[in-house]
Amino acid sequence: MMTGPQCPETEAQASGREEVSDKQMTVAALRRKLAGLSAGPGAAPAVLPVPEPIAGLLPRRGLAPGSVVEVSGAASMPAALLAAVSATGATAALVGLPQLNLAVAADLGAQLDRIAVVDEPGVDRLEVASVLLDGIDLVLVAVDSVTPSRARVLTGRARRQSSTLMVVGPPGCWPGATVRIEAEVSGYRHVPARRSGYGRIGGLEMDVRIGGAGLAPRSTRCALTENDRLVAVAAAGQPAVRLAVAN
Amino acid sequence: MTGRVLALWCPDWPAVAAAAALGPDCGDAVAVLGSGRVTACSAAARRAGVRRGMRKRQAQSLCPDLTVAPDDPGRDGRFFEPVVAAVSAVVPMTEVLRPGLMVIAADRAGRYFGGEEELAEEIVSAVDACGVAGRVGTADELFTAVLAARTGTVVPPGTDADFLAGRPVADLVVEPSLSGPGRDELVNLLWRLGVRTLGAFAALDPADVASRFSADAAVAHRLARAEPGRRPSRAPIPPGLEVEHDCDPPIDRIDAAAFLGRRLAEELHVRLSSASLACTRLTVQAITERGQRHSRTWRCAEPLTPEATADRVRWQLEGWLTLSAGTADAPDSPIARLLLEPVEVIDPGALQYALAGEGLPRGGPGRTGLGDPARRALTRVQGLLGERAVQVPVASGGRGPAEQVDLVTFGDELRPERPAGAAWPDRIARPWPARLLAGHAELFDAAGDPVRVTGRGAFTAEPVIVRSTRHDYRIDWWAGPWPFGIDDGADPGVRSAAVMARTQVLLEDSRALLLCFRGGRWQVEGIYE
Repeated sequence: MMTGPQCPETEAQASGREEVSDKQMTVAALRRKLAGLSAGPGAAPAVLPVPEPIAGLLPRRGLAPGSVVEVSGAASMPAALLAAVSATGATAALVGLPQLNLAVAADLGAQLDRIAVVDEPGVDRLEVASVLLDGIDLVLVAVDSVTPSRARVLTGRARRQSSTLMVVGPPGCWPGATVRIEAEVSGYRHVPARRSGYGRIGGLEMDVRIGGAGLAPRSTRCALTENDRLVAVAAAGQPAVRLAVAN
Repeated sequence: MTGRVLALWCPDWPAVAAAAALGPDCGDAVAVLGSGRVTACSAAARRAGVRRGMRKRQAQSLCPDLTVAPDDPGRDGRFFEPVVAAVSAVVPMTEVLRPGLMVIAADRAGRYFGGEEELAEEIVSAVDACGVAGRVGTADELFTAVLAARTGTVVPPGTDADFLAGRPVADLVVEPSLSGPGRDELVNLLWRLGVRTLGAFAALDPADVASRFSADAAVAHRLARAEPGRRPSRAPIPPGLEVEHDCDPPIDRIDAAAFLGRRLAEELHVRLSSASLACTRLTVQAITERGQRHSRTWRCAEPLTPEATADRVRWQLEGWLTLSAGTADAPDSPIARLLLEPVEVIDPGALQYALAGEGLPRGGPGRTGLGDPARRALTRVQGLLGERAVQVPVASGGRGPAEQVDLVTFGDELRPERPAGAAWPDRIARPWPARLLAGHAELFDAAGDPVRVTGRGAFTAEPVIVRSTRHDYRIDWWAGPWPFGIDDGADPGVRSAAVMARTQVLLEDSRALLLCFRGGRWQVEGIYE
């Protein structure tokens, strides 16, 4: 007798919950659709991704479009950043960086077909970089020194085009860089052991320091490890974080 | 989204330029005559009663000591060039509407200098240093800013319409570079209809204006309502429109430059018209033999005609080649290259052109993952540096660290030199050195004798010292050598010269190098870093 009136009520509640969950599911599905629409095939994401160990140290866990990033020290760092960016479908260009080994970037997961290279940019490499900022999401340019006025023009250009300029050079070469990343090799990993005439180099560890305008200096240690066909940058002491599998 | 625009207006510019050209012996009263009528006069002449549109005789009767000069746009442009240079030293991005009037996007520059007033002061003092009087006005829209510059006012953000409301309707024609043909008739008609102020004109319904007056009236109506008149084009500019010319022999004379400018202007307009486009903003760039660049952006109300384009090229080059001689910005060598580049084009037909991807390597053998904007930028760089300057990487095969990626000219077929999928048994193990080098090195043992690799693939002695770039480094650790085949090109008589091997060494300053032994010599191939 008592169950009679209760049953319809619970049913109503249940159906109400179902409606709610239906609504939430619809909203979620629409959101997914919307995200798919706005991202589009090959569209650049809101923030250019960076390797996992560094992401935690950066605001918004990536490189903001329109910013200038100064990278100095070990060449593995620009290679890893290039790999992380191009792996997501963003385009990148290298200006005056013939020494950077793209094979390292490719092993770290870079999509080579999204990269363009201008090895000999002529007398004015910043001019070339500023042209490339028009249509390319990440422009890496090797710079020794730059006048503040020139840097200002390039910074403004990057901001207007919402492209990221990555300056590879000595520390402090770019006045007013948004983010400064400095990587220094702290040691090598020898496989299987360190003994002269025996084994080989199986990886290296880097001290990474990150600073910049409005960024408290912070640092971490990364390891570039070797794993048959997989190379990853991982925080030392932690299990290796897989960045991407080559091929 | 409102951007602030700052306009710099030099009053009576043709008269000022004429006075400067005539030198100190002309009086204060100067008038410029075009088609027999006064087109501009100096302040002193105006005080005496000289007005625009007067005949020469009438003007001279009012002001007996009036100096009369013929109209010469080239002279105006030439003498405005130092002013542009001075302002460009304050704010790099400037646009010249006509000689005597230029506009600057003021929001970012204003923030940099700490305010629009400060920016205006900077610009006015920079112009004063050239010995020219200039007035500055700031507003949200270009047209309002140009009007505000005439009175030297700063129109607060969002109050453009209020500022314009009280202005007479004749202000629509006061600036020739912002008014299209037939604007005079429109102003006359509005006056006769009883529309006396811009505010009254703005109060009309846009649909009524568009249906009853000419197309230019609709543009004028937008100006009067302080609506964004001509926004900077966000539509992509189709590639391959730029006209570039390598001057051979290089040009150092103005007449040759003007002649070339006319030819390039014709060529540019053939390209534009074949793309059914018209250009409203144009960047003219001149590059000297030593790579010095001189670039200016010109903006105009009406689409540029070939003649107008040629004039702008001539003004710019004349100013650069003559007036700035002796200064730091003077050309260091004759002009080797001229580049006309449309910055803003109008006409929706542009979209068709962009879809066709004219002039871009796309599809076919050179297909890459680079999208349209990226290809456009890369093509522009190819235009600047030459086709072979832009390359794309493609995975390749090989035994050394530098052979893993081949560079192919952008647009060519993506075919690696060596197959990437092959086995490559003697390939050096990962990881690769991140920095590639190609420098000579020498290896020495403890006794100071050079270390080589024997035909059996071993060191002649244990290496202790690496000498590279005239420095000796002690070796903390070494591994190898790992032979990777026989050098086919080596002298068959000397067996050890044919050995090729790689070795890793760790230096005392904790850098790990990859060394390569080939042809009896050591080379630094890369640094692990």
